[in-house]
Amino acid sequence: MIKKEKFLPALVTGFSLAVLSIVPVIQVATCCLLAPLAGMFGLNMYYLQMKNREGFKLQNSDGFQMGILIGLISGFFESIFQSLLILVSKDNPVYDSIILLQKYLPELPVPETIWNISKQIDEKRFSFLLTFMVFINTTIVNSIFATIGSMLSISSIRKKNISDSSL
Amino acid sequence: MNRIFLFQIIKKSFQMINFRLMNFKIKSESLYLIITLMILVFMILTFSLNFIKDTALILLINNFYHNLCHQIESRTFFIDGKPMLICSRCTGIYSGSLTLFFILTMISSFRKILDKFNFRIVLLLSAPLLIDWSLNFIFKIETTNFVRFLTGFLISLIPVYFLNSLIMSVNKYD
Repeated sequence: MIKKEKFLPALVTGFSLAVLSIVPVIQVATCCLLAPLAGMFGLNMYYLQMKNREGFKLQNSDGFQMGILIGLISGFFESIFQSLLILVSKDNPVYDSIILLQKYLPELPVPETIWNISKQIDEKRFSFLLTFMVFINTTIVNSIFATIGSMLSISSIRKKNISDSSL
Repeated sequence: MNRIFLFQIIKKSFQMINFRLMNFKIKSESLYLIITLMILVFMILTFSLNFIKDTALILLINNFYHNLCHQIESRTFFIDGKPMLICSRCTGIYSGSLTLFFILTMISSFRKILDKFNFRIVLLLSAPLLIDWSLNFIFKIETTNFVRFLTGFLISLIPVYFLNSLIMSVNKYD
């Protein structure tokens, strides 16, 4: 079972990751730099909570769980933030994608469903399908990179523990 | 009633994920191969505009890559008149990672050699990218896509170096 001590570090780092991912300029580094850093911080926070407990041993599964939790939490918040940005701005990411597609592949027909999503965003400034897609995408991407970060953190903690014990 | 049922499903699925994760043990040989194949699929999908003929699928894939890269057209390679879904620098990073992981999969002795590399020297490889990036972003001097590709290719050694030492250390402790 996922230990409850993992939720708070995952919530803090996942939320911070989601916030930073909508900041212009910084957002370019979200996937490849910020998500691994979030994984590292999350795991270190968890380790600091647990290291004095009797019988505690850091396992690989802790890194995986932390990465997936951070991915899920950041995906959830990022989809909300992106929807809010669409709500307050005049952007229509679906329409932009359609334009790009028609520029390079004019022979491909755009299905009615996709036009409907674009219209829905224009009229209501919200589309559940788009929000869901953003959630799935960001969850997958952030989970992968946060897991790498937390696994790196596990290996550095283990190396540090070995060098400390050999002194 | 429905809420309790839904809660039980969520609880069960978390238990299943946890069970699978606790039993997660893959030999390093297969791990290198899996990562190489994953990067290969990732690279092939960047040419989606050239071979996929389904609009919804292309939009879905494009949306996915949009999370990873800025996709500025002028900084992207064009294949047969159609842009790749990632910029030239990202293309360099991922193709460099693919090449290095392919070598690591094929030549196992290279893993130990790479692991013994000095970490500071490896970090020095990011210098060309930082210079190129500051020329582009701060001084507004545009370099060519080929230069961006090369700097990306060089910096790919850094993630591969860390991933390699990670895989080696994880296998050492399990």
